Amino acid sequence: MDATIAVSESGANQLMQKLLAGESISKSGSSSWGPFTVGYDVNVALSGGTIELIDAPLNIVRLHNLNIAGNVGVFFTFDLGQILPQICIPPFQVCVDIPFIGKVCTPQVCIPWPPPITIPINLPFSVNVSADFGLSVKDAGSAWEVDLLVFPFSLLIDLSPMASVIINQIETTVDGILNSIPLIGGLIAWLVNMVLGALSSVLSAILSTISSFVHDVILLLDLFSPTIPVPLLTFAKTQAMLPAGGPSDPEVDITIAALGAAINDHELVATADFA
Amino acid sequence: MDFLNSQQLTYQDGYLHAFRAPGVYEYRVLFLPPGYEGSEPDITYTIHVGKEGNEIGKGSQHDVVLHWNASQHAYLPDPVSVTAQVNDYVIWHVETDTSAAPPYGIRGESDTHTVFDSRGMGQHDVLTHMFLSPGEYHYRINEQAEGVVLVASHQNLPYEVHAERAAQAPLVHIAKGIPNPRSVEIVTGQTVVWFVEEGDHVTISSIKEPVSNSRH
Amino acid sequence: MALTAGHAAYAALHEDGLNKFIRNVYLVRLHYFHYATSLFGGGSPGISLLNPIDIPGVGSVIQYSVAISQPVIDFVPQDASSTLPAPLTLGPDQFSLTADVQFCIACGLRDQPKPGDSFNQDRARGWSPKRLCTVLHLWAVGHPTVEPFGATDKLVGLQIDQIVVKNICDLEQIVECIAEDMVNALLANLQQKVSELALGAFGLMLAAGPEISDDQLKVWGDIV
Repeated sequence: MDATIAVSESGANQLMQKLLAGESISKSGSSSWGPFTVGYDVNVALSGGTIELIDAPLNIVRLHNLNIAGNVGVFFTFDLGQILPQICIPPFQVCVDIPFIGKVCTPQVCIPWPPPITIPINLPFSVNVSADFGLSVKDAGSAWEVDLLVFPFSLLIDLSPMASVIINQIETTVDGILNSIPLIGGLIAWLVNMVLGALSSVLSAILSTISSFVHDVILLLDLFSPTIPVPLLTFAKTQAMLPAGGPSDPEVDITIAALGAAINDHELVATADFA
Repeated sequence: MDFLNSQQLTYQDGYLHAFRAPGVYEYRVLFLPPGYEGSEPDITYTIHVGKEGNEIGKGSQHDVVLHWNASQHAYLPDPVSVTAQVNDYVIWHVETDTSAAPPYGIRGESDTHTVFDSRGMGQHDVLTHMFLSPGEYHYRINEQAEGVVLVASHQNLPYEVHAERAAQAPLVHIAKGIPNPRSVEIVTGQTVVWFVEEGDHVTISSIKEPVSNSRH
Repeated sequence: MALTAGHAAYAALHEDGLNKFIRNVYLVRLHYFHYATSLFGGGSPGISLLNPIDIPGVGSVIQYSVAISQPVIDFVPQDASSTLPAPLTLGPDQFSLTADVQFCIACGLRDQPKPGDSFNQDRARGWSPKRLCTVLHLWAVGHPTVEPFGATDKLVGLQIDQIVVKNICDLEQIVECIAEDMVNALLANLQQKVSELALGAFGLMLAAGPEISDDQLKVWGDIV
């Protein structure tokens, strides 16, 4: 044991915050439900939490109240023509007497619905979890690592409370589009309800799919991978003790030949042996 | 802004022709200007006009609805053939669920000659246009005399007021190439009716900027 | 008792680790330990150059060399194998250092030596000085030092307070004086930045120490 480095729980918290700052991920997906094609972009970042160091032989780094937060950018694309019947206006006959012709009733105009519209909606989310990590030392080639590996833990992502946000946004957008069409004032509420009715039959399935997607994206983070250890401490094997000072003063190194790590007295203790 | 051009009719337009002489008329639905009939589809549809009609100004209306068929790239009329009497009038208009259907014209012939052509309207032909977008629409008759349609938005009007106005279709008479009245004020959803009281080969098309003094 | 003692981090260098470091310095920068005038190779790789000493009344110079063996450091508590001559004792927060110092001179007078003369070639010219060497054994006791380095960092090192050189009678005090300065100059070359004492795993800012105990040189601080 040629050198010893020890980190208290508060020090380990600082190291963990630096580690968390580098843990973020973005992923996209899309799928269709009936007339609705939904794209979703997920951003996730980690922050906060407090560390408890649990002594050997368990050697567990326990992270309490880690905050997993992010945003799902959801894009609802749908064609009103696939949901709504064709509407012809005006809903009454308009006739005019034309000399030399007679009473001419002008034709109704059947309104083609606009091309598919895309409505962007943001769904922010935030959840706190606690997780345990095992401690291990890894020979990473040119460095020694003291790594964390997560034990399986439960994570629940449920976006169903956001249903009302989605419904409100779509209702507002469709209402705006329909209001631009003349002579359907009496129909607008009924037409909006047709769209919302088509949406409500698939909305819980949509939100369940997006919730699962967010859950799976979070578990893609290295910190939550049950197979990818994440370094908390990294020690270069070759330590430059005296930097080079000219042709007659080459760098003086020591080499860390072995590294051990354990938790004692609620401290993370790394011990190094030099060659 | 709407697309307004009597030579290229859309789902917002109607074209009317009154039949003054009995006979069998064949008409075609065309997409190109006069002279390019060789490039157009060869399909014709029949209008039978009998001689037992009412006096002029007292004829009956016959509606022909053109349905766009994208796979055939053609407008299919409904009914396929019309049976009318002298002084009756046929009005063509489009019903489509896609705004991507192309503009068209109607050209009809007797045994001997062209009798009517929406791309150059004859005497007593009628163009209708329902305005759907608000704006100031300046137009020219035969690239000469000008008129204007001022279209206000319906969105600030109570529905009852809007419907009441939409029940009126202003009539513009065209005589010797001059529209009367020159200016019409409507709201979106209203139809303007242009009647060729006197003239031949009449075209109505919107222009981007007025030649006359700016109103602003 | 927790090592960090209320601080965020703790770093400690064991005397074994320090001695391995000194071994590496000895291998790579031998000239910190070997000094000589030009006759004995001073100025060549691995040997720092010394100026010869004038011999009073002779008009000539003494060529000489000084070679320090690889020093061995012992942190308190004193190793069982270590013996310190009186009055040296190893107390709390102290270290001891032992080394051999070989001191050689070129004995024998001649006319002014010509530049470029080597020791072996001089036989043909009729000057055959003898190389006389003696080995002195050196013990020293000292304490850890810390001084500012830049705006936020510190340099941690070792400094000798008391030195004993044996077996040269009345010259002891003179040699001890010279040896103390010489060894402190050597130790100054070995100072380490506190910020790097966690072996690069994280930056360390000194809050307490350095302190020598339990065979280790210890510091405490904050993680930056």
